[in-house]
Amino acid sequence: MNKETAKNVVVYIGQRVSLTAIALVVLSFMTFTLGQLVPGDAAVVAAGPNAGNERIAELRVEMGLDLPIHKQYAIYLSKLSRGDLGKSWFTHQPIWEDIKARLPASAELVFLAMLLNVLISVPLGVLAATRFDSKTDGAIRLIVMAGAGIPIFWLGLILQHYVAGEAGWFPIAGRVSFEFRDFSGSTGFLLIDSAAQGEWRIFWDALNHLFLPAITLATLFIAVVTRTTRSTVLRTLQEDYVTLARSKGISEYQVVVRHALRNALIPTITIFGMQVGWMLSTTILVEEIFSRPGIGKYAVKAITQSDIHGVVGVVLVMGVIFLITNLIVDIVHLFLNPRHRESVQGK
Amino acid sequence: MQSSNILEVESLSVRFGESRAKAVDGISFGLTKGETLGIAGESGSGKTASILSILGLHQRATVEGSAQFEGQELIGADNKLLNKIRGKRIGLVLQDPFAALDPVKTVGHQISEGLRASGWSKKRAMNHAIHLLEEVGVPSASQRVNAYPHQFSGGMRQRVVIAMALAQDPDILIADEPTTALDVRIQKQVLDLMKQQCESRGMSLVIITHDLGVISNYTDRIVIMYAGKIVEESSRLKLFDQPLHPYTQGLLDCLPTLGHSENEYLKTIGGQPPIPGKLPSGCRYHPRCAFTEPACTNGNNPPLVPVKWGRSACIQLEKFLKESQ
Repeated sequence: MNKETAKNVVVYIGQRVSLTAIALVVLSFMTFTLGQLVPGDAAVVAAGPNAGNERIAELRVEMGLDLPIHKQYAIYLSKLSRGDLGKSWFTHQPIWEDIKARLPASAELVFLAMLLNVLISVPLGVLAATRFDSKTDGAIRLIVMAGAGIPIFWLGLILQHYVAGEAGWFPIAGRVSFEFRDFSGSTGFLLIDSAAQGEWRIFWDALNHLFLPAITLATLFIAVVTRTTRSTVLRTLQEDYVTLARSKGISEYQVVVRHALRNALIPTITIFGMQVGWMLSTTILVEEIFSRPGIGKYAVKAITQSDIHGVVGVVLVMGVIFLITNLIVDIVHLFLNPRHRESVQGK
Repeated sequence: MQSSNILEVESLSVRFGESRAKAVDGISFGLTKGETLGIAGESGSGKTASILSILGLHQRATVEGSAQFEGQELIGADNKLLNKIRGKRIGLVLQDPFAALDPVKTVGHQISEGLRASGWSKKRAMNHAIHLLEEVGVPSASQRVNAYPHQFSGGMRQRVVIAMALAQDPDILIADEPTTALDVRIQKQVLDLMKQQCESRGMSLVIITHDLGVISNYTDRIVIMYAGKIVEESSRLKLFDQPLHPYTQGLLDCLPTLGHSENEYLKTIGGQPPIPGKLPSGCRYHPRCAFTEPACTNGNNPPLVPVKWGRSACIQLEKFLKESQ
């Protein structure tokens, strides 16, 4: 990368960051509107069933509900910028604290599911493409079809019942065994904290608890990426540069990995980026089934209790994570695609 | 002549797709060391299919017949053997320089890749890549070696592709329509470069083209293909003076000549070449031929008959030879 390109890359990243910031404002507007649209008077709910009209009016002023809508939004934004997502109407806890305590459990789940996704879907897609129209290809297509068609909640219940319950290979539910329930560390990530403290039994225990939920969460996403990898690799294998790479007398493995797959990865990375966000929202199903104390389970609870601030908080946090992963993907693209690096010039 | 051939192709057939129709139908030709051979014909006549199958680069084709490189059979050979021939003994240049280079790898990486696979150190292979880029006329090669394909013009890319094909010092360079995608001015430069490289390396050259004008100055011998068959083989000088097949005559008539009147249309051959699987009986060219006689339309495809300086697959060959005397 020469100096000129390096400068362009910095400018480009700056642009992406500011675009992400704009998207965040739009997101906040949407979550704010969501809070406004929900029927019911926040002050009535907050005051409780026995409060009198006076108390409700008092609370309305206290909560800023008597102000014009744009002022309410301004207050909302300034609170957001300080990390204040409001208080739960039910627990009266700051929502950010609730989410912060639950986010690591979900992040661990999404991370492991994503890891399985990358490690399984890409090799499977490449295998299907290089064995195009063979029995292997047919078998992979069948598995993919099944994987994409299985409802996540059903798969989770089946795995929980048979693999964890009947066979007893994995724990049925929860994040960690009862005996380790008091373990805590500085990051909140069980895997990181236990590894950092050398508590390998806890690490192993937490990993075991993660396994089935991660499989459940990953299956649909693996199916999708296997399919897209197969078709993009099939396409790149037809390219002249792959034929010419073969004509150099290098091994077929090198031809496929260095040229066909390397080029096919560019669109695949984009899909991976979006999947992080989708997976996060799918934790709502998986964490409920496996009783994992993450933000998905928290969202379910907030929804059933009509805790609008809780729901809005989860939506906002998931949205932020989605935007940030896509920002990272944009930057990764600069390293994967030299043409892209060049074309950011002069914009 | 037979024994001195470095490449000997014998009854080579290539089938594609569901219909299993033959895109190449039993062609035979030889190539001697240091010789330049042109293979010409319209699109779909089987030129590209035949050379790609010789190197085993046609992924979904069924190939029959024989192609021997220095006595080694290539058809049906496994990748292990073919990889000893590919790049090292036979180099390949393809038609479209915009598609021929991997967009995400530097040109240096792509030129040196074959060398590194055969055990060269990265540094040595890269230095050789710089040397090759200089040789094919890429300016400031030591910097350009780290550039990506999109940073080169079409002509320069084709030079990079040629450098890539020359990297392992092959005995044969096969160029499939190497100039079709290039400007006329660049076409000559690229052809000159290949010719000059072949002469200095004692390398044989096969140029595949649909443009007889392109190869007229660069080849010793020319093979004309039509509908998967060789219809004529001739020396360059004889081909233009005394074509042995009406199809060749037709192709030559299509070439613009100096002193061509501006009121005169360029000649064309009427009709379309047949689709494999829907071939006419008799001579495959007879529906488009100006000299068709009843005998041309029946029976099998006429065989190639040797003459003093070549071969022809026209049953009226003797008549034409007499007329021209």
